[in-house]
Amino acid sequence: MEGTTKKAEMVKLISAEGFEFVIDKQAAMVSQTIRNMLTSPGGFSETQQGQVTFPEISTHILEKICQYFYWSLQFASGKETEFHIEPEITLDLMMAANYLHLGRAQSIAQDYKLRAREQCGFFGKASK
Amino acid sequence: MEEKTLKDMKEEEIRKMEKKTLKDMKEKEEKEEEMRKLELMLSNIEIKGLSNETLDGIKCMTLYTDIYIVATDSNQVFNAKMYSKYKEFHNDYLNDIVLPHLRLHHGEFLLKEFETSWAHYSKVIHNRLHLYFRYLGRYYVAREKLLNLNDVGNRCFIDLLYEEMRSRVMDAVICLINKERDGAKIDRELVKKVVNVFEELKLYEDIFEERIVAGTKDYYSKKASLWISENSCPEFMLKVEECLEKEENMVRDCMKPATEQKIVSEVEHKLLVLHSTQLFDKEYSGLKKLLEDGKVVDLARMYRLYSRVHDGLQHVCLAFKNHVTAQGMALVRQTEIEVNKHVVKNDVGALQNQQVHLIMEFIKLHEVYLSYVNDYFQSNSMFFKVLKEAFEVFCNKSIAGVSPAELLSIFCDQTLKKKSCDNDKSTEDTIDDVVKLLVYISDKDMFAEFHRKKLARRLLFNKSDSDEHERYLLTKLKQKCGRHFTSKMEGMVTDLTLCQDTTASFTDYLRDNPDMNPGFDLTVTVLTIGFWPSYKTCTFNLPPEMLRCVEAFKQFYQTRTKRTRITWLFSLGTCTIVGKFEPKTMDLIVTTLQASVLLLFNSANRLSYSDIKDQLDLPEEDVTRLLHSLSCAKYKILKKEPDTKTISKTDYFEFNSMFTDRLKRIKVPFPLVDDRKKVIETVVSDRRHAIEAAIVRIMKFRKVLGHHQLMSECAEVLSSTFRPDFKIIKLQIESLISRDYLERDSKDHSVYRYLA
Repeated sequence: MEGTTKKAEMVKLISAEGFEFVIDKQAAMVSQTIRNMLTSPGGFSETQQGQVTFPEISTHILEKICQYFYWSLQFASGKETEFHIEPEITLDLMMAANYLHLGRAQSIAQDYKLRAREQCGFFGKASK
Repeated sequence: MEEKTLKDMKEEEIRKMEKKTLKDMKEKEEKEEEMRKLELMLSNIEIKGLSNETLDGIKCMTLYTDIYIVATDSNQVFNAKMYSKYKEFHNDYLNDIVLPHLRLHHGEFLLKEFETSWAHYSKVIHNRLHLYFRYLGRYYVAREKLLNLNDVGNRCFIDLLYEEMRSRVMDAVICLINKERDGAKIDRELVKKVVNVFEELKLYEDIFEERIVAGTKDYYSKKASLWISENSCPEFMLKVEECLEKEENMVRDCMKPATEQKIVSEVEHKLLVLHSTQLFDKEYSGLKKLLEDGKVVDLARMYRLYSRVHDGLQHVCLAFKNHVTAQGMALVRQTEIEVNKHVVKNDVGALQNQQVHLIMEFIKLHEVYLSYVNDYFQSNSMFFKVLKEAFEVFCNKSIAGVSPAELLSIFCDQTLKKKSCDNDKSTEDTIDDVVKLLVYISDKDMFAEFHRKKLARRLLFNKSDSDEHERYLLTKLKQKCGRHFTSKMEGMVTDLTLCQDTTASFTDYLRDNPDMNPGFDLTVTVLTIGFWPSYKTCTFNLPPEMLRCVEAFKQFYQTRTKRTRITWLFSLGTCTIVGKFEPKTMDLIVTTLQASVLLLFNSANRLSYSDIKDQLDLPEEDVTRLLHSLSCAKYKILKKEPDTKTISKTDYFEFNSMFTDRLKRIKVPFPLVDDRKKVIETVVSDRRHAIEAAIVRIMKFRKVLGHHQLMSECAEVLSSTFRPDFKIIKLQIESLISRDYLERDSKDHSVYRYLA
């Protein structure tokens, strides 16, 4: 795959429900897992070029993940803004982040989770 | 009431237990279920399927996800199993596919197969497996401190293929390299690829380098013994040079830079070091012969090759030294034979020619071998040193009793007397050569003394070709040997320059005082006493004409300085006498003493020996010599009775009015006394003083010193001027002790103490 920086290459991420998210390749590569997949030698078969299916990740989470990708790129290039996570999805997000191997997202989500825990006050016993 | 609760409690317990066992059973079932699922999932990873060129995206994610699920399961029991399965997959691939392939091939094809197998294994197979098992690597592997997934790939490869690589693969590589060494063209790219594989496996030093170096050793051992017996020394060296170049080239191209040194040193060792003695001692082409035949290209090559090897040049250096010494000694011996012939015949002129010739030969020799060191031995300081040592050996050999210092001074004298019409070299270059040779002579003070004597003669009798050259030589000598060496000589030259002033003032004086004018052209050279060699003064009756001259100058000199006293040295003067002979009037250039003898015949026609002696008031030997030069030598200005060849006290002398010669102006030679012995005596006594001064200086500084140390320090201090005789040093020490400058230590008799 010859990816030049001029031409924006896109990848397709498909959620468990079948939703297709088309994002920049560069953004997708924030995920180590996706990066490994895409750069593995041998390449994909033609029909499956540039698309990855995630049967375990729900659409809503995957959407948030994609947002995270773009935020991460912006953060890396200097725009230091906050990435807001709704408290309800923190756990799922964290697990997805783990699955996709997003270092930062994990820690951010963890952060939120801790804060949520403090607020709620009784999560602690249930989590591992 | 109590009984009922007890029963209830029991029942409760039983029920609890039942629940528990059920639960356990259920758990066990679940576990087995999981196990089966895992097995199933893992079996989805077919080894052969891995080799597919294209990746199935869905399958990939599925496998990854499955492993993820198992790894994140609440009971972490299956991680270990998965890890070992991961390893197993690698090993299976290697065993089933890679090894059989390798075993099918040989030689170059083996190498190709090896390289491609590794590429495929590491880039495709391993990467894919790694992809699937990635989640395992993140937590489990790190936690349990196991070998990480990446390294597992390399490890499996190494474990299974180590022997294969070490033996068959390396054999093939060595075979290929030897082919190139023998002259064939090989696929260097293939070698480079194989090197890369080893580097990636981090086995480059262990396997590849080690075996390549061993292979080089073997190859060149064989070649060395073959070549040394077949080839002459120059041919062999040529081959060695070529080999080294080729090896360097090849290693730089194919292998890692660190290997270059190892391989090159092996080659050097096998080719140069092991057989060096055999090489040098080759009868018709060895080191000695190369030097004798002046095969400089080969010598230069030898230098280049052996300068690579540690201590390699010792032998070459020694051979060079021996050669130069032999050449020098041969010249010395040859000259000695020739000189002895001339000594027997008493042919002074030819004797001198031989001596001069020897010095010229030395100079030539020096030039040649200096150029050797500079051009072919790359100005190596070791070689300069042995050149110096060699020259010091034969430059200090006396020829028929004449020391080399004296020989050099004779040569110098000739050079400075000659008109500079020598086409080959300018006088200044020759002077440079003289100074260079002087460095090798140990009795430098002897040279200084002889040179001073001869310089005096040149200056006084105006024989020197050019003042500039004299000064040039003195400058060079000052540079090399120090100011004290040339101070006297410089003084002499300066005196001569001052004389011109004096002469001009004298002429003015005579003009102003015409009554003092003696009526002759008089030139007086005033010599400062310390600078010039000591000349013996003798009683002498001047003829009246000359007396007048002396008086005039005396008066004149008084007007200049009242304090200095002048002593007249008549033996050094020259005089031009007009001889009114019958055939024709001639001008005779004679010494002052000869002139005074001739002037006696103005008043008497015939005189006896004793007459002459009485009138002149000179010692007998001088009179004899004078009369001999005027009557028995080349020009017979006086007639002698009897007409024999020797002067006796009973002879009579008469003015020879019939004397004539082809020329109008002749120089009547006056042979000089052989004062060589005197010079040597002077030098020896000067040395004694120098030794004494040195001892005193050393002891003053050291206060206490042992006998041997004193001797050696003394020798060292004086080494720039001469080589002192230890017996004389001892004598001087004794003399200083008797004069209370030093004393022997009371406890240890070999230690001296300085007495203030």
